[in-house]
Amino acid sequence: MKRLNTLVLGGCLVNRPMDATARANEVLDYRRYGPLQLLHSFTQMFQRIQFIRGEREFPDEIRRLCRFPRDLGPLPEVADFRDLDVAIVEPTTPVDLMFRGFSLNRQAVQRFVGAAAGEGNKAVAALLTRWFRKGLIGFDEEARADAASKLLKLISGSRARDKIARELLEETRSVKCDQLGGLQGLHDILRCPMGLVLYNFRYMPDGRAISWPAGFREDTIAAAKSLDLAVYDPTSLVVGYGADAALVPGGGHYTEAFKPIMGEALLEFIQAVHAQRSGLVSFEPAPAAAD
Amino acid sequence: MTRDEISAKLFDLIRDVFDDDGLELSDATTAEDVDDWDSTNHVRLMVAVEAEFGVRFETDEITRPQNVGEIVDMLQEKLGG
Repeated sequence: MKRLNTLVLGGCLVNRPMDATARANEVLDYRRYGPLQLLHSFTQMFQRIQFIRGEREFPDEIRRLCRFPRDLGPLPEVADFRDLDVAIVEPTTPVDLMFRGFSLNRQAVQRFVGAAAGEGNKAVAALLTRWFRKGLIGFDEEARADAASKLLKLISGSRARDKIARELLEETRSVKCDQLGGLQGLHDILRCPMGLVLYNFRYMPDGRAISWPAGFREDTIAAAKSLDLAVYDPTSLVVGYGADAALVPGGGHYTEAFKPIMGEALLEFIQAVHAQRSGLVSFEPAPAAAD
Repeated sequence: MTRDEISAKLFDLIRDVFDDDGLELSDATTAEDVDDWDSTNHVRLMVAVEAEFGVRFETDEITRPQNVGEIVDMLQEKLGG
């Protein structure tokens, strides 16, 4: 049976289960469009497409800050997506961090600037928090500008990475993403059956799924509904298995034992999407919870 | 419980969760004002609030509050204060 040519655009709650599921590679050719990359917003998904199409120049420092895999290069032979059978997307944030027209990976930005400014110092860490969380993610321009100006004074080195850190502080701004526009744009480019995987930021101890920020989940579902796309909600599988057993402490990632179980569910979902099924898809919990 | 009593109990809980006895708090305090109050620790705090006050939040209530005062308001409503 022919493997389905599959494009996976999402974060670690999709990528890691796929890679942990032996059958994924038998059923899907999901590395046809390059190695999986952590992609959190629609803007980042478009960047990935621009990159493999060779449509845009990504300087080395931008590649690192976008977390492009080292072994990823333009893929002109598949870049028209004419042979694409199915795509799944998992947007995990409604906010882009924009720098010179590129949407950067949040953790990469925080770590890069933090390392240059000396994040081990408590006062510096507080400034970084103010710049990043209150200023950028919280859209507080006064806090962003104030913290950035103080952090800039701490980065006086002449190394290339010091220069980039200063530029990040001066030029990075946050922008709200348009969920519907993003999903519609991908749909128009890829022209194949497409499914959306809901992102649950965390789970409460009794399994209630938490979306972050408030309203993000509803906006995402509404966007998918308006395009009549299939939506997969992983909540029942996580809760059926036991949130404590399915998630590592802190709740942001799946446990090693649960990844292949989620991977199997994603495989089923991808196959259902390919079969042009739409609406909300929710698979039964795994038959037995973890020991 | 009165609003003041709820506030006092909540402030103690927040100091406990963030392990900072000297944390200055008011209704206007936001997550961005507290060093470690990121989205992950916000959920951890709300788990502690549910346990401490014996209430249950709807999922959108967990992420909706913009400051400490809004958490107090939600608690007051749930506790009938």
